[in-house]
Amino acid sequence: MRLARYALRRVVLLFGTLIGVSIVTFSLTNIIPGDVAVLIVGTQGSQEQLEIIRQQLGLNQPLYVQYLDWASGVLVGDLGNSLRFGDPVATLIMQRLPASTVLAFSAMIVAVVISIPLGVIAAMEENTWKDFGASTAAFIGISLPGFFWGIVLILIFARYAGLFPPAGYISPAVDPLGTLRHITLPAVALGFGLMAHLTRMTRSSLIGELRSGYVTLAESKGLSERRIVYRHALRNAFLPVLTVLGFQLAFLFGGVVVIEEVFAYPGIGRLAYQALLNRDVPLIQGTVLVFAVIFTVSNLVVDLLYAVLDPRVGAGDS
Amino acid sequence: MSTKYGQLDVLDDVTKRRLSGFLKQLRGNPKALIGAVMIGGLVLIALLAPLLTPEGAADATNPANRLQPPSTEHFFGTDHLGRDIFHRLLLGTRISLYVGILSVGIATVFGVSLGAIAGYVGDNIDDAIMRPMDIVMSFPPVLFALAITAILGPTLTNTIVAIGIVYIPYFARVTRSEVVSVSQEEFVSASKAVGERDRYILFAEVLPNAAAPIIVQASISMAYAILAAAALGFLGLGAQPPTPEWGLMINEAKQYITGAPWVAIFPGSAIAVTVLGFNLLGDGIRDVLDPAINTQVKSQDE
Amino acid sequence: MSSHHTRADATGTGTEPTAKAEGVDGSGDRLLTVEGLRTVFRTSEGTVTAVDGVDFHLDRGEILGLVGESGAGKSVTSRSVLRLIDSPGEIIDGAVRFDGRDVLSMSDRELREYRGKRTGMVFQDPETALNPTMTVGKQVAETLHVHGSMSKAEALSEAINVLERVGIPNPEVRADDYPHEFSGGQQQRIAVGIAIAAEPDLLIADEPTTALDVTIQAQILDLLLDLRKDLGMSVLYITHDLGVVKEVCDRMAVMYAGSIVESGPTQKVYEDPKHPYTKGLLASIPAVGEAFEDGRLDVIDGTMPNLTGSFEGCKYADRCPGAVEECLTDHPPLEAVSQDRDVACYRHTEIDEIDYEYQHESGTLSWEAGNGEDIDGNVIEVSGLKKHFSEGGILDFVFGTAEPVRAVDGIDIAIQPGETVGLVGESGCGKSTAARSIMQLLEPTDGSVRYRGEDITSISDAELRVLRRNIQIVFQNPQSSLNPRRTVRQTLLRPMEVHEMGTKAERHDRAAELVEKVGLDARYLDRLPHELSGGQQQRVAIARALAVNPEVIVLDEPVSGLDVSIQAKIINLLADLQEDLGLAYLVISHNLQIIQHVSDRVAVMYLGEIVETGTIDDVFAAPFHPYTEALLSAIPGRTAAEKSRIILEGDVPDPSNVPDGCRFHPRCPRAIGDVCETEVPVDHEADGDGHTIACHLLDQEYADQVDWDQSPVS
Repeated sequence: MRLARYALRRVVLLFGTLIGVSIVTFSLTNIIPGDVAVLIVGTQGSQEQLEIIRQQLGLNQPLYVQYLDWASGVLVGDLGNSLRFGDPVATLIMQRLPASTVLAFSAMIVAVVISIPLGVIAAMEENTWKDFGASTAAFIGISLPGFFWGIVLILIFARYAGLFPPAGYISPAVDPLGTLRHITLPAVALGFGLMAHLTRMTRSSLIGELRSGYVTLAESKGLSERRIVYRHALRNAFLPVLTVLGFQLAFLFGGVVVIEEVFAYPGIGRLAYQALLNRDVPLIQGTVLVFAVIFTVSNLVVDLLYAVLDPRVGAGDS
Repeated sequence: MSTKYGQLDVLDDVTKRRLSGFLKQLRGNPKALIGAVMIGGLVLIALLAPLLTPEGAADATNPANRLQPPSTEHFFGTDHLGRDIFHRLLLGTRISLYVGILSVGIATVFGVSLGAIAGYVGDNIDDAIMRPMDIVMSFPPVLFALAITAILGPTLTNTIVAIGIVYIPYFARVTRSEVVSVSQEEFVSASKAVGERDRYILFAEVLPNAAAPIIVQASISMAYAILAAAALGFLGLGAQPPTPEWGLMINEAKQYITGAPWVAIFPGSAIAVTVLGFNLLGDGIRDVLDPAINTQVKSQDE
Repeated sequence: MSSHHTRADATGTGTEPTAKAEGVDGSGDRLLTVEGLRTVFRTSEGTVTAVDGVDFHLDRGEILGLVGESGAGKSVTSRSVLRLIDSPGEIIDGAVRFDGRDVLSMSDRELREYRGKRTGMVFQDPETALNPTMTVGKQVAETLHVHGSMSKAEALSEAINVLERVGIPNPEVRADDYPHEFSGGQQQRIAVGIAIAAEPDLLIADEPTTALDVTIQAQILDLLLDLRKDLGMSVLYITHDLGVVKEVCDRMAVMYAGSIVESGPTQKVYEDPKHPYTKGLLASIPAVGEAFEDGRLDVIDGTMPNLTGSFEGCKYADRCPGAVEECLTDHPPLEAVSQDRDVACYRHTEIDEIDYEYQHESGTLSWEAGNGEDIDGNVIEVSGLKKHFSEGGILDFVFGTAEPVRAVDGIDIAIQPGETVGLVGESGCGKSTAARSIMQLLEPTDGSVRYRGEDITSISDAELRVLRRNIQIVFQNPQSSLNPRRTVRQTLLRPMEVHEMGTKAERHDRAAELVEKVGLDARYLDRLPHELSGGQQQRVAIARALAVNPEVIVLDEPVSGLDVSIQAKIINLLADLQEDLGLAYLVISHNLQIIQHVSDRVAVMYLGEIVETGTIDDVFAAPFHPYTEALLSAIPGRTAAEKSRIILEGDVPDPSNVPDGCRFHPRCPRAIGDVCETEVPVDHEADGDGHTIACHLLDQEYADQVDWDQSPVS
């Protein structure tokens, strides 16, 4: 019941945010200096040509009308057509969405699967060399840029070792093993920073929990150290880690753009980048919007997950 | 030694003592120490770079000399245009620190002001300020900065502006939550009971006590800002050639990586060292300012 | 609540509950012996000897109270008994023998079994002691299936029984709830349940009721006594509250600076203390100790010594009024002075001659003149004051959960010049909110507050700012009420600057004067708050309130966070200041004994309303409002042994959920039926000067339904 109420509140708030997001996205592209029509036709174009383009794109109408036009299109899935490629923006995005999704998920899985056990070990062996090693590795991990990792990984594993392909993507529907080969390096590059943050947070959170009152009480109940750590402390320690995960999603999504470029990975990150390079206004609007929406929804999912794990969230609503 | 009371004079006695105590603790914290040393070194390099670099050395293209490995003449080797990498790195230090400080500066000034007002006044003003912040935070920061520079035009200045804008909400949030928490302390009520004006209370009583997490946030944001600037440079939407910006250097080095890896490795390491330094410093400051770790010896006589 | 509940043997160790009688002195089975226990903590400032050669014992079925102020080492002692000492602490010497076994040399496995099956522990703060993400049922059941022979399912169903035993209503349903869904009192009951689930022989309770309201404390104490009777377990009860010791403990041991200085049967130690510290402590408690004619408490000078490093001579010597040469040589050992009494003092035979004195020279502060003429009537008059909070934002509006919280719901208070009015009530009654609303720190929803006849709720901000000179406030938490970045001097100067009083030089002089007036040395002027002790910080807070020369000071729980001996000193200080400067006080507290000691008149508050008001003598004697009566009887150690205390059921109520009719009726032990549930009682006049009680029992109609002579607190 508590969960349902909380979820409902958050979803309602979400709509407000999404409207704001769409307004910002739209406004963003409208501050491009220079005339969009000129961009398309080129500086050599005649006035009539420019006028035709303007009519076509509705550029003569007041801004809020343009916005409403665009927004109503978005709601039915029509994001306009790409200036550069000509295809509908929605189609372009949908083509590339699966690849990016696979990448992002893989990066997260890689990060979580490695970092949590590492963080737990570091916490339990606090101040030993194991801890020191893990903490240092984590620290360096958060300091190196993802694209640098990407390049290094390509260098080592793709060029020298030839184990993984340096670019490209194959859909799991076609060849799952191939997918795995193609996403390993990018997923690791993308996930490395996340992994480092999660390790640090797991470690410090667990150390903090082990100092709590309920841990002392658990000791006084005669419980073994293993039981105390795994049944009591870890569950509570995980909450701040989840918060950090939510926070780091922001950088994960940003990293998608960079990593896809490094690995010539055909996802929406790369698409967005190309759109920006080409000043392809509808495509920019479409990709940035999609990014923002997915990001916002992911944050919501993380918050709901947190509410599931922490019974105190959303309580106190009679 | 009587202390005069007034805004400026507060910096005199009390703050000096607190500062020296704080610095002493910082010295005892290995992370902060190493971080501070690293940053200090980088600042030094940034300041001295123009002196250490012979005129035009960084831009001097020399196609005959391209892609040379590190040697005594060129410490870090040369890049694809024959330019000396070592000198370019030195100059790049200036750029990175410049970007970091300015963008974080923008974010701090605007973010802290907005967050402080939102936190102190509360209610509708709080909503009015923080909802737009939430909306800006709905965009992945790097992507947003990318979009801004792409739209405004890729220059170093726009990079700074873009990153600054993108980080404003983070500062606003941290400031707001800290201000809310400090405002609940009884000395704030005591000030009101004495008859102080709100403006005074916010700036002279609340904010100084809320400073700690903001400082930590600033240090860590510098790290992120430098990473973000490098990413933008790498994608070609930040500083433009021939600027010796580290990210851009890696971009240019990308295609030569198999034959001449040092062209990318050195700039990458430079980024890493800088970011590492700020992270260490930020972490160290956080440790020192964390009340759980600080135990003060109390007065014993009643 | 005291259902005699016997359970099938849950732990498989075959311990039968032995319904042991009370009042043991050496005739029962010895369960626990502690000899020469020494526990230290190694810190960067040196080695702190928290427990310094402690000896005591506990028999089966007896309750031993371990008493002392903060820093005495009682908590560390209790944890050492369970070997819950982790680095940087270490038990370095001594013996702990439990039922014949040597605890200090147990293996890890034996230790866990000892902790799980034979002992249980209850901590001070139930909120942090319970795992927030585990249901309470599972937390109770854990001991049972980890150490016992039960399966998880069996343990869970047994846990439900345990929850019922400790007084949680609807245990079958509530076992699946999480700790934050219970009130503080209930959380502590659950903690007790966890501790006794495996029917241990020894229960260690570390300040279990310190964080609870007095009526809830009474419930928990009652529960503990009940359980002791049923399970025959021994209890090591740690507290700083001597009243609680008197109420529940068979024997008591007084700790000071890591050593036990006196022990013996509770009654005897109370009536005939043999150690100067015990004597001093007893004298510091308002309403228990003997006050001088001028209403001051006897106080112990100084504070507990730092436990770092070693001692020369008796640890108490520098505070003891009876210290002689001999006392400076060695710390006296704990010796038996009769069959059941131990004392660690060289001069215990001359204890009657060792007395504490409190001296005060009266004097005034400068700038006192010009405080306004004398007035007839009240200096502060509060009428119909209300403060409601509306919860939630837009969404709550949409969902319809926007119930206002009626924290203060129409109260009247009158304070005469130079008088002290006490406002007493438990948590959630709204007294703090009332204080802030009177001070206009919160904007009242309704009602008026008149200062010298002028309504300060409706004046402009500028006018209010000027008037603030005359009404000042001292808060509860001294650490939080001083800006950590300002020195004492700056804190004192600022109010004078805001009100533009005097020249710069005059203000500095006055700051020095103020600091001395509150009993601090001038060198403290340049200290920062964290460099001061709690008592010193509170003195600074008082000095700040005095800085602008107020006529009225509101004190919100001024001594709650302080040790007993420090409390006494602050109370004396406040009395001195009132006498010297003619101040009027509004003192807010949950501690009835302090209120009784300091106030002239008192108002008892419950759920946002004042249920009884009058002079101290009138209110604290029959006829009572039933809540007043319950509060008085809940004070531990106050009710005579023959009479049974009133234990209120249920929790301290929630101002967002106000009952119909008389607000107290759901908990009222004297409720007479429908009229209490439907009609709001009016203020009835009772005997005495301005003595009103808001209860139907004072109505002519119902007056014969109650016999006040039967009350346990008459």
